[in-house]
Amino acid sequence: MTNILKIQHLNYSIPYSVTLLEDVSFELQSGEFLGILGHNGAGKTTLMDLLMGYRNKTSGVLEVFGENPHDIERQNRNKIVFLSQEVSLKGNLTIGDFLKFHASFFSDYDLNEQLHLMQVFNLKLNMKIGSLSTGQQKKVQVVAGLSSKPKLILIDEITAVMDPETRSIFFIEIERVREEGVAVILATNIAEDLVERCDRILFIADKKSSIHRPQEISALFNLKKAA
Amino acid sequence: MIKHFKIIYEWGKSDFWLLNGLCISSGLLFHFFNFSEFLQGAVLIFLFAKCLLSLKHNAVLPAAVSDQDQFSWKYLQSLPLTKKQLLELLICSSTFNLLPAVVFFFSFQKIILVDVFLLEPFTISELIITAICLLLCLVISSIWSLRHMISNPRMQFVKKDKKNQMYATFRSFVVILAVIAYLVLFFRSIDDIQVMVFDFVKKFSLEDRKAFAAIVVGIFQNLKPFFSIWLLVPLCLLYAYYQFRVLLKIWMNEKVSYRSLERNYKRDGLWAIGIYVPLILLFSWVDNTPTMLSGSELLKAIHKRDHVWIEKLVADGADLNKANRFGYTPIMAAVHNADFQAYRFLLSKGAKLDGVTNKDNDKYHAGMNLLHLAVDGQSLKIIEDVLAQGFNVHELQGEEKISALQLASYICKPVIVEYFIKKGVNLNHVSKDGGTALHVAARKDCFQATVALTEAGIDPLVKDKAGKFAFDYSRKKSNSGVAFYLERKTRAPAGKN
Repeated sequence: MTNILKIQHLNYSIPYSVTLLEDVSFELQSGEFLGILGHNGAGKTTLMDLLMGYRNKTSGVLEVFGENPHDIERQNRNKIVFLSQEVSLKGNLTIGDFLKFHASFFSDYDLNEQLHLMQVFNLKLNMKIGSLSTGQQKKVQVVAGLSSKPKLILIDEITAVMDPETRSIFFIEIERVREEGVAVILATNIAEDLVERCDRILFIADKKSSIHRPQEISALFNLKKAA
Repeated sequence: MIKHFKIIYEWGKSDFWLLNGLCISSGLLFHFFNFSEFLQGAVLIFLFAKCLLSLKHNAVLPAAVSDQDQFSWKYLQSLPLTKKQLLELLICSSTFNLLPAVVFFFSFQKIILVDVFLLEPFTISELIITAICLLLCLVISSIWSLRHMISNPRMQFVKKDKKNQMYATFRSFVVILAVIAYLVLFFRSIDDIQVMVFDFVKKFSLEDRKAFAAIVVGIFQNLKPFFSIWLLVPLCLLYAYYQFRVLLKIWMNEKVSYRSLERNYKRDGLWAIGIYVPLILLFSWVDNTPTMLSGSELLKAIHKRDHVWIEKLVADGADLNKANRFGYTPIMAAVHNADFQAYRFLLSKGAKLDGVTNKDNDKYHAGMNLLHLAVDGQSLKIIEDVLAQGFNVHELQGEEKISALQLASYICKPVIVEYFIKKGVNLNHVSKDGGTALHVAARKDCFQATVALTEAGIDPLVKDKAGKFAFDYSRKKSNSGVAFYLERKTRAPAGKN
């Protein structure tokens, strides 16, 4: 098991404004599935942004594959794939054009994997991305992401726009790549996506975070109702 | 980077070659065939709009938020590229897809420069410089748009503070004003270098000076346009590189985006002092005598209207009839400066009146005698006195064969126009370009001169060598009373038999 992610006492504040995350700490090994839960505005997307290097931490330790994600000259970016509902693709491209563009950035891009996923998700290369529904566009993202052969997959609420069948297929594929040693972090509002799938839950509330077992999800939300 | 760029090229290559081909072939068609201006305008607007749309369609333009048409910024940031590589890819993609807009400019440069902006056509070297500067401007605008795209979402978290925003706007204004002032000083100083060289040359004998001056003048005359214009290229390059570094800094450091909204009076006050104090010192030190009037102390004194100094220099033996390299003698400078006192003084001291400005000046000031300079100086009193000295009111200026009446229309002084009309000048005289004084007045949008000329009997139906009536030049200006007035003179009213 390789140490993929290391976070210790991570704090993030918007400059001259509010603090969004306080004292977040956890580690992630290869093949592990970590779920991030929290109510709306808790800071799930912010944490994902920090992991991807979109924002810079205010203080603390944050290392992904041993590097600060915000460094200008990161070396290991090709090991990470980011699937997010906030990601949109260029509408006038065909799926084939986009996958060719995406593949040009990843030296380990696997065309056989791409072919398999295209069949599984029932997509065709000559479809125009702009003509696809939101859910279908997320499928295209998933095809591109998993075909890149990453070591870490960061997923930010992408399953929210998928129909139940697609969501099921998606998690089957995620489970398959986990067996190959890929680590997964899924930030979501849908607790059911994490039960019986993830190894641990990172629960964010009031800027603080805590690690829980998947079985404790219901209890977490029950506690919030009681409060 | 090349393989990524090849893929982007594949997306847009058909639009790219189609637009370039259309711009070039349409430009050639317009050059060799003259047809409806309305159709020309429609084609130009269509092609320009297509050039801009091809950018939106084919370039990798990041969108700050989810957008059906473009890659979101988050997707592009997730690619395994360094920040510099990503920025280079985006800038190259935008610049490549805007190249048809540059080809558009060159294909229709005559229409854009001459017909729309009423400028002179560019020479080959000016075209090349403009192409390079346009490309650099495209790069800079790509960098600016990326900068806004990175900074603006961050501003969502900042509470609206109108005072801070006003302060930021005022600060930007102060900085931009200082930059413009420094640029004015910089380009002005290039002219000063030439004056210093000529002062040095005076130490030698007359023959040596003539020979040396001829060489130096030749070199500077040929280099001057390059100095002024070619310097834009490295300046643009430097600015583009600076903006690129600022963009990286903003991207790496969130705090920079928020810092612009801070009101730090001490920091900003020190910056303003540091920028403006040298500027004020430079402006007070720099000799602001126009180049046309440089070359001697007497000319400088005349420019400054320092009559005490003028009298002292003349008393010390300054040469009253010595012309500078533009052909200006002291009395010509006084007349051009509308300084009646200095003019009469120099006349009384025996200054000759037969000087003519030479063609080393721009074409509109070449071949001007004392009368033409008096008109350009806009002093009716001096004009009357010069005519009283025996000057011919019909005398034409330079190779362009411009009359005094046309000059008066150009400067839009109705009083002087009416004066020449009363003097019996030839109203329908045409200059080298085939235009009358009415063409000049229309081009300058000078309503009173237009009325004075037409009521005096000038022919509004004269076409110049470009085949245009005076009315055609007035149409280009919006809400023009001249256009309304001349239309009635040029064409029959609708419905009239």
